[in-house]
Amino acid sequence: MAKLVWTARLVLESFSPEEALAAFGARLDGNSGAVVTFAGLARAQSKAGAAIATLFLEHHPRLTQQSLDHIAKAAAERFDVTAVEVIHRGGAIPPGETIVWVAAASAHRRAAFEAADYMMDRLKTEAVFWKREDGPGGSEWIEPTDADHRERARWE
Amino acid sequence: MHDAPVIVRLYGRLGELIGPEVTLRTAEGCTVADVRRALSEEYQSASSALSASRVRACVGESIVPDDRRVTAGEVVEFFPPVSGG
Repeated sequence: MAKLVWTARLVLESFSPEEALAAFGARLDGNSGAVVTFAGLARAQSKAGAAIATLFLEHHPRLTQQSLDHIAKAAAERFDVTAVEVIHRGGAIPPGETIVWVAAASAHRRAAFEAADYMMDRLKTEAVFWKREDGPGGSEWIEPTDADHRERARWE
Repeated sequence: MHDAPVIVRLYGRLGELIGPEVTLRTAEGCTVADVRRALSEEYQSASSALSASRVRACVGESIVPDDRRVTAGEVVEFFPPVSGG
C-alpha cells in the first residue's frame, strides 16, 4: 500500500478543529486503531500576566509552508503512523481561537501519541513564524523558551 | 569596485525596527556579514537585534553563513528566532 500519510497546511483565517478532525477521520483506512489530536489555543494572558488582545503570527511567503511540510513529513517517516496532519494559522488570532492543530493516526496508540508530541515540539522551535503578543500595555515579540528547546532536544 | 544594490527583507522584531524591505548599496562582492554591518550602521536602533547570533540570514530557500557572498540583485532575508505553536 502506498504510504502518502502526511499533510500540512498554513491557514490565514479561523479554522475549526472539529471539522479538521472529521476530515482527517474520513481519510483514514481500516488499519488505524488510534487517533491523537492536539490543539494549541491563543491565550488571553502572557506568561508575565499581561493582557493579550491579539496574538499575531507573521509568516514567510515560502519558508513557512516548507517548514510545516518538513515537520509533518519527518513525523510520518519517523513513527509507525497511518496518517499525520498539521494545520497552522498565521495572522491575527484572538484569544480562544486555535493557533495550531496536529493529528496523528496509527494502528496502536503509542506511535500516534509520540508523533503528535514530536510535531508540536518541532513546531514550537522550527515552524517559520514570528510571534507577537499585542495588548493594551503594548506589543512583545515572543521567542522560543529554553524549555521549548529542551523539549525539542528530547527527539535527537 | 562599485556599488551594487542588495534587497534586504526583515521579519519579526527586525521588520518592526527597520521596515519589511530596504535596499542597500553595498560594495560588489560583499558578504552577508557586510550587509548585516551596513544595515546596523544605517539603522542603529536595530544594531543589537541584528548582531544577535540567533538572527539567521537566508538567501533563496536556504539559511546561509555570514561569509556567503551576495551578488547584485540578490535578496538577503534576516530571520529572528522562529516560533510556531
